[in-house]
This record gives sequence, structure tokens and C-alpha cells, in this order.
Amino acid sequence: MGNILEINNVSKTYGKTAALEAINVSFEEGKIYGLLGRNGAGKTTLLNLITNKFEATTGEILLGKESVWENPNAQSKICYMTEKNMFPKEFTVLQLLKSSFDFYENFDLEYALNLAEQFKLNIGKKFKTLSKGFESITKIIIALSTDCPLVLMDEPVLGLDAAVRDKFYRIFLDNFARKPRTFIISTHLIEEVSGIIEEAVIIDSGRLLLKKPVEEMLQMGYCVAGKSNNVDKYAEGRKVVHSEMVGNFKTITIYEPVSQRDNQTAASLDLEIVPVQLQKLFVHLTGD
Amino acid sequence: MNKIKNIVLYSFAGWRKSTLLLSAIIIAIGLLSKGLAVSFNGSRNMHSEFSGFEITLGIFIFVGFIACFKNNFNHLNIMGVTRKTFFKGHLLFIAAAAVSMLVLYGVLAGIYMLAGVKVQTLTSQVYWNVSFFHIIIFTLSLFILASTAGWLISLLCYKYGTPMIITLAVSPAILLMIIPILSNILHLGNALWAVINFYFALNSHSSLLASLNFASTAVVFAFCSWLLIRKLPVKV
Repeated sequence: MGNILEINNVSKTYGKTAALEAINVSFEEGKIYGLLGRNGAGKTTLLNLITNKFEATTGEILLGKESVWENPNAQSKICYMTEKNMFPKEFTVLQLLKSSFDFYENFDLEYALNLAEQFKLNIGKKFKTLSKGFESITKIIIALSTDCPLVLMDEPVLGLDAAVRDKFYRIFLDNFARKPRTFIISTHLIEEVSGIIEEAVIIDSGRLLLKKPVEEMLQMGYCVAGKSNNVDKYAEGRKVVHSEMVGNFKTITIYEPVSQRDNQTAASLDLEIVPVQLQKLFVHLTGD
Repeated sequence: MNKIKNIVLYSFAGWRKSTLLLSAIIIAIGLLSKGLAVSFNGSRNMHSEFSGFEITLGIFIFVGFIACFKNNFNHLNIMGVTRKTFFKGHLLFIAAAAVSMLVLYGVLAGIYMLAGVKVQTLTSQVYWNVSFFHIIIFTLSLFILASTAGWLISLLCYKYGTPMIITLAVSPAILLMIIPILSNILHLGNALWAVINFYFALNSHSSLLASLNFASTAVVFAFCSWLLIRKLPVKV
């Protein structure tokens, strides 16, 4: 598949502070990406640059072959679910859905109303009176009901309880199966999205740290669990990036691909090798 | 084109309630003034008079445009509308708002006259040889000037934030204090009056000249607005 979005050497500075530095990354059509990074890493800045919120200091962002900056054609193909509220305060949910229908080509109003029912969202309520969770649900519904080939979601599950988050992931995957397009999901709930994203893009301090398929990333390390003294023996000479202990039971995360020999050594020490968690890897990669 | 039409419609949507409220207040004031005139003078034939429609509606448009920018700009940006399209849509909205306010002016003046309240236009009070055409042109240009001024101020406040809001809030008072002082020191009194007389066409008493001045200023304000908006960062 071809690239839908190309970010070429993009930097953004605010005064003397660099929010993004020479970012080069491309996104393929029909894939789900996780945009990961710590607070202030530059994730939202990147999403804002893609969606014409402000101009990049250097570099260019191309959707297809067109620059996204002040380009109505390119912008009509992007839907952005912001973390902050940018909708008119006085609008009801129904008015917001109708305004999305008016501005986005092929916005599926029927599907949006159906989702509102599934999420038990009162469409007659004013947006400003909604709880944080229902604000997120409204924005999710708008994002999923558009037909845009590129959908950006900044913290989509903010304020949602576990049950609603679970429902969201199911509806999201169903939506993706019906209308495959490119999703870029920026979130801090890394472990939760690791099941739905195909590729992870990690930004750290304004720089692109890594872009890899999640499966490949998970092969960059592994966890070993078992009796504490046996785990310590196993850990000798290996690159341990995280360890946890409950009673005499210890789990360590090793930042190396697991080999056949490692499996044998672990078995001889009565240890269990389990896949690494994306979040643990992320924490290691981003410095803590 | 469809997007521009939607921009105008959505911008108008925010005005509906406040316009209705303003109309209700103006009608209530008219009826009250008629009632007071009758009760104080004891005759139904006693008339009251109102001559502030242009100024009242002009101030309403000015404040309305200050208030509506931020919501519209943020909302439309999130809907994928570019600054250029927004600017075009907003120019059309300015024209449509001015025309609709002119129609409202006509309707309100008609209601006043039906209620026996005499309506004086600003144009006929200040200028000479004023026809219906002159009143329309003058009022339209005044409304367009008010809307572009309000829009420009809201853009300045959006872009520069609190320092600009404070500057704009205190500047009229400071200017009113400084201008007479400077005028005395530099003997600018006559020059200042000459400028004011020319701008409002007070010497020539030509409403068309005043309209032309208002329209030219509106064009300058609109151009400044474009300069501000074309790279304006969206505050998210």
C-alpha cells in the first residue's frame, strides 16, 4: 500500500523552545498507528500541524502529493478528534452531528445516531453540559462517522470507564473492518491500544525515536518470571530494563530479542518466558 | 461553495437569539416611550420620537462580531475549513449581516411608526438632500464598518491575548486624555477637527461622501483582518 501521509523534515519552535525537531515519518494507507510519547513529547503538536492548526517552522507535510497547509482539498480528507474541546459551547450533540454532516463529505449521520444510542448518549443535551466521558464519546462518534481517509484521534478514551473503553475498541475495530482507512491514535494508555494498533510511532522530546510494527517491537525484548534467586542468576550479563517483585516471585524485562539458547537457560532454571508489554518497552525507550 | 454557504449559515445561527432579544427590547422601549408620552401629556395624539436606530444596531453588530469570532473560527477549523475559506465565508457573512440588520432596521422603524413613535434617521439629521437611497447606502456602510471593526478587534484579541485586550480596553480612555493635551501643545485642534469633519462629511453634509469614507475604512479593516488571519494559529 502507498503512503497517505508524509512528514518531511518538519520542525516546530515556539520562541526558543523546539516542540518538534526534524521529524521524518510516513504513514501508509489503511493502517492503524499508535502515536506514543511522554507528556510534552510533541504528539499533539504533530497532529495540530497535520490539521492546519498552525504552520510548521520548517519542512512540509504531504497528504498524497499535496501539502496540507491551507489546502481545502487535503483538509477535507482529514478528520481530527482533538483532546480539547473546540466545538461551540451552546451546541447540542445533535447540532454537532448535523454540523459534521454539513461540513464533511459522506458523513454517515444515521450511523452516528446509531452509535449515540449504543453509547447511551443523550443527543438533546448541550455539549458543554456533558461529562468528560460523554464529551469523548461525542468526538469519537464524529470521528468514526466520517469517511475521511485519514482520522487522527488525540486521547480518544479520555474520561471513559473500563466498560465503555472496551465497547469503544470493539466498535472501532468493527468500523475499521467496514471502512479501512488510516487511523493515528495518540494515547497514554499504551497497553490498551497495543491490541489494536499495527504500528507504533514513538516521539521523544520532539524527535522521532522509533517507528516499527508492534509485533516487531514486541520481539525487541521479553520478560522472565520465576523464583527471585533463579531470575537473578538468569539476569547476569543481560540488559535488564525493568524488574518487579512480589514476595519471592520476580519478573524482569530484558531488552534483547529472545533466542533458542535463552529459552533453554530459562527452562533449566525453572523460569517462564513471557512476551514483553509494549508499555514496559516504551518506558525503557523513552528514558525512565 | 457549499462550505462557504455553511459558514454563513452557521455564523448566523449564533446571532438568532441575540437579534430576537435586541428586537424585543427595542420594540418594548418604543411602546414604553409612546405610553409615557401619552400618560404624561394626556393625549393619544402626543408623539414620542426615536432617532438612534443606526447607532443602536451598529453597536450591536460591532459587539456581535467581537463575540462570535473565536467560537466560529475554532469550530470551523476542526471541521477542516481553511483560513482562506473561512475569510471568504466571513466576508459574505459581514455583507449578509449588514443587509439583514438593514431589513431589521426597516421592520423596527415600521413597527415604531405604526405605534405612533416618530422615527428620525441619523442620515437625515446630519446630512442634506437625503433620499431613501442615501439612507440605505449610509446605513449599510455604517453597519459594514461596525462589523469589520468588531471582527478586526476580535482577531487582534485572539492573536495577542490578554495584553491586547487590556490595551484595547484602556486605549479609548487614554486617547481621550492624550489627544486634547497633544492638541494644545502642538496646536492640532483645527487639524483634528478638519479630519473629523472630512471623515464624517460634516462640512459638505454629503451622506455619500461619509458612506464612501466608511466603506473605505471597512476595506482597510478587512485587509488587515486577512493579514492577521492568513497564518493565525488556532488556539487549541
